[in-house]
Amino acid sequence: MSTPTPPSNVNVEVSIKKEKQLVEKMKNKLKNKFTLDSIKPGRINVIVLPNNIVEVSKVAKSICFDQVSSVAGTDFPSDNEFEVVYHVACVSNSRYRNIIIEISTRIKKSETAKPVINSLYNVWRSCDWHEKETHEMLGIVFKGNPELRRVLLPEDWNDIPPLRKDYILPGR
Amino acid sequence: MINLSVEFDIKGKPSTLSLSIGPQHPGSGHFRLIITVDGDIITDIYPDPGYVHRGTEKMAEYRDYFQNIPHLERPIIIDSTGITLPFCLAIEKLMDKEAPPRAQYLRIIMAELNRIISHLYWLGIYGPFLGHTTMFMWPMGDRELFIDLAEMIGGQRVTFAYTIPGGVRNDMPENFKDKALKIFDHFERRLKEYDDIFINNPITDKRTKGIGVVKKADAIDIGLTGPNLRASNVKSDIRLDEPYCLYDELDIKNNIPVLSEGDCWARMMIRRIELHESMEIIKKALKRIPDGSVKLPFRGAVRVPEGKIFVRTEAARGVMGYYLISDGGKTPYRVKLSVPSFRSIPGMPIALKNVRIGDMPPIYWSFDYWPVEADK
Repeated sequence: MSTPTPPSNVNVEVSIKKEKQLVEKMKNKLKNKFTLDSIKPGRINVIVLPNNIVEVSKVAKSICFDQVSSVAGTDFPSDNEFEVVYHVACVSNSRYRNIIIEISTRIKKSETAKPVINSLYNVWRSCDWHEKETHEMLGIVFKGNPELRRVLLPEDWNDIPPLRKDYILPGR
Repeated sequence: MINLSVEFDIKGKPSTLSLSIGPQHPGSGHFRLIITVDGDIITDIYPDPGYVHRGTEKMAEYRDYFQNIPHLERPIIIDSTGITLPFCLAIEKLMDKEAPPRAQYLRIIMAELNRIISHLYWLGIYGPFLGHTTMFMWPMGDRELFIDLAEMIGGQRVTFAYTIPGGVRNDMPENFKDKALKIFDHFERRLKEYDDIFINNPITDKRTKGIGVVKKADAIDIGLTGPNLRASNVKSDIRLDEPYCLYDELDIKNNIPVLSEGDCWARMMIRRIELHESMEIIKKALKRIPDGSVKLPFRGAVRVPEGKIFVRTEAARGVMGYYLISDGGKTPYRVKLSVPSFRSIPGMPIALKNVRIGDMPPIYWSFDYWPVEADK
């Protein structure tokens, strides 16, 4: 039986040409404010420090990435950190519609203070409800979001935010 | 936090009034809108979801990848392929495997059948929202035909858990194609009757045209997706933009409707046209479907290598996105669901602003908002 041939490097290079151009554009405007984590067909993953997230997002918006698809918060107790990833899609420009820029950042946990990060509401209004959800599910405060209210949990919920790893489902 | 009150003007007469609409099932599940009215004009809208939240994402962390399939289809059982398909694709991408071509085509057929089933359910509720009870009975009755078709393939009527990591559970029966084409012919004729009695009805026109407009810029800005976005003149559809499951082989460019009005009528028409176009896509898929196996030989629990991935597909209501993190264990480390209904919540305050209270039901349901899906 013949083994399937792996895709040649030439094809991969061609398929991420647009993605590379976008990263170049961002690099020209931002110098070293972000680190490129990975670049695959249709996905650009950049890592930013929490202080730089607004600036990087504004540049992403200026190159046509205009709609937040999802804001995902994850608890990493082994690193004592929270990760927040904004998945941003381009809707208005058909050339880049297959691409998602993933802007990810990590916030240190502390015993005394709540984790805080700047909200991107002023860059993308579409992240509003996703930030609300991440706020109540992980307890991350998005500074600048106009209304961080409870949206999904019951009104009388007084336990820790449920998507943190130290919250164990009842009976488990 | 929530203030249900009456405000008085200087003469002591009430000027505005806050009303709680819901959460007792305003059409589709439990959801509340708190609105402020001045006379019968809505001046302020405050969406209040969360009545059917059950912690799907948290529970997914306790189940292995196969157990997660029937678990993850619960938020939207009427579009169960739409919500489980991206999860399977995410697992396959992390494992660097691809389902066999026949399985990919079967996924397309099932996903489009689910789109029809879901849109017919939506249309069946939209009728009574406009005071048209025949339009409740007809789509609900015709929906049974498509449920029968799905049952032929999936073995269940609604929650078939048909897509699995590595392919689909089983092949379709030999007589599926003939039966499907027969039902499609019948339903094309029925759609004309729908048009005559409801879609082109002057009352429907009056109740939906120019009502609840969401402009293109707003639709992009607040994050609308799927048919709601395409009704506001944006040709964005993941089946075209980032094809998955061999949709790119089917040449579906002309099967994606786009309208520019952005009102209730446009959102209704997009779904009405998609009923027809989904059947066309299934016909194309049935013509091209190759022979072969329908799943990869996975045995026992799937081990997904360490990694993260974001996968999106076009479900009946719009972009269904999964952010999956695996730590190499038996269960996923994190499953983040980005569901289209949750993304249509901010559309309601825009569409409902300054309209009459009588226009609220048609506007609310024109978004095809499914509370259970949004609440997860």
